[in-house]
Amino acid sequence: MTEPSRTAEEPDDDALIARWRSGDERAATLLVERHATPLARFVAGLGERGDVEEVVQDTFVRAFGSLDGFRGESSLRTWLFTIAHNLVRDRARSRKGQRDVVSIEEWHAVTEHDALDTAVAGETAEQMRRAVQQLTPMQREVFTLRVTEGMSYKEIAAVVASTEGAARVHYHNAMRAIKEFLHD
Amino acid sequence: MIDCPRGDMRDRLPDLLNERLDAATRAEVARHVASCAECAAELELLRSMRSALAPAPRVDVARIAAAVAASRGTAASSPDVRPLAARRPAPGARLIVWRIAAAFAVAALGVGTWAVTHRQSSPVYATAGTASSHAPDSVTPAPTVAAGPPATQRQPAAAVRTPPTAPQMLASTGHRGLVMDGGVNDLSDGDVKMLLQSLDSLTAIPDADPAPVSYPIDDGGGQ
Repeated sequence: MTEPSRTAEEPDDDALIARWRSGDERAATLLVERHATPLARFVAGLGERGDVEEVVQDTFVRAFGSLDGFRGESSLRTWLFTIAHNLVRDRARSRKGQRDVVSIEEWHAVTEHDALDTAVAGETAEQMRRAVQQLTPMQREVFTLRVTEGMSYKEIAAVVASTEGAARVHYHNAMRAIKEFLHD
Repeated sequence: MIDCPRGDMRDRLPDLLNERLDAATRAEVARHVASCAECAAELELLRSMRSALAPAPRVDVARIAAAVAASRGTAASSPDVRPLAARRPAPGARLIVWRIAAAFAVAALGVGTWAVTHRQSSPVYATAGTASSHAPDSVTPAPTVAAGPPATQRQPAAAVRTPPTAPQMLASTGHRGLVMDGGVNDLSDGDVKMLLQSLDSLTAIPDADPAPVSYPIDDGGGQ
């Protein structure tokens, strides 16, 4: 496994964190630009019904607020996703009894700005989203992190507070369920 | 849809899709996909799923970055404020400081008063000590002055204890006997008689000796 490809001119996350710690405000902007969209996609994919941007912003504020305690044992990306995962979970608990999963219409609502730009817009894409929506929350989360964000099982286990083996099982169960849904 | 029996290859399809495999592993998986219809179909499904799920809500990066910077500003200003607040002494500590300062002020005032009073009394002492001396060196016996008792007790003591200082004066003047500045010889007989009577009326030992002080000794055994 390798880290996501990045051009030579782009400083990696560790370098940007070091610059941030030394007082470079621009480093924070670069890190936000790099990770905000995947985080927003992840948060929306978890069925967050509230303000996705608010969750993403809270994720960054919390992460940078405790960056001194970040030892680099996991990547910054994994750490950010873990924080976002916990924030979404806490928000879901706070509104316990309410529906936690967005409908397809709501999914369209939160992604309508980019829908026309996607290559798989239309009926096929909607079928794909329905297939993901019928997964259990854990399957959906693991599948999204594995396929959309390209995380390893180890990284996924860190985000969802599970084990690599469990993450692998959730992924293959999700894949089987999606195939069955699409072929019915 | 039939799944490929090569679970290790299926496991790596998402990594192949997201280009997270090293060159050797990527080549191996790519060769397998090229020869496996099931894995090729699954890889295509994954690609479609990723595209379908890719659209993300737009977020205002500038606003988020500003929020992060603002939170840092708050955190950065905290060390400047909180430690100062933490270092600010408690009300009780401030009272102690004021008490110490007041004690020093009173002590300084007392020393100053004593010094001024002593300077005022020095001429009296010096007059007696320099009765027969014209030498500047013998006029101000500083160590004696500094260690001397308060002026209120010193004057009679100086009069009585003239003999101890007399050798110095005699040595400097070469005279023997009681010699005072201005000369006893300048006094009239009546004045000399009055002076002698006054000296006789003084006690040789001043009654200003400190009273003995006794401290109870606690031997710890209560006996």
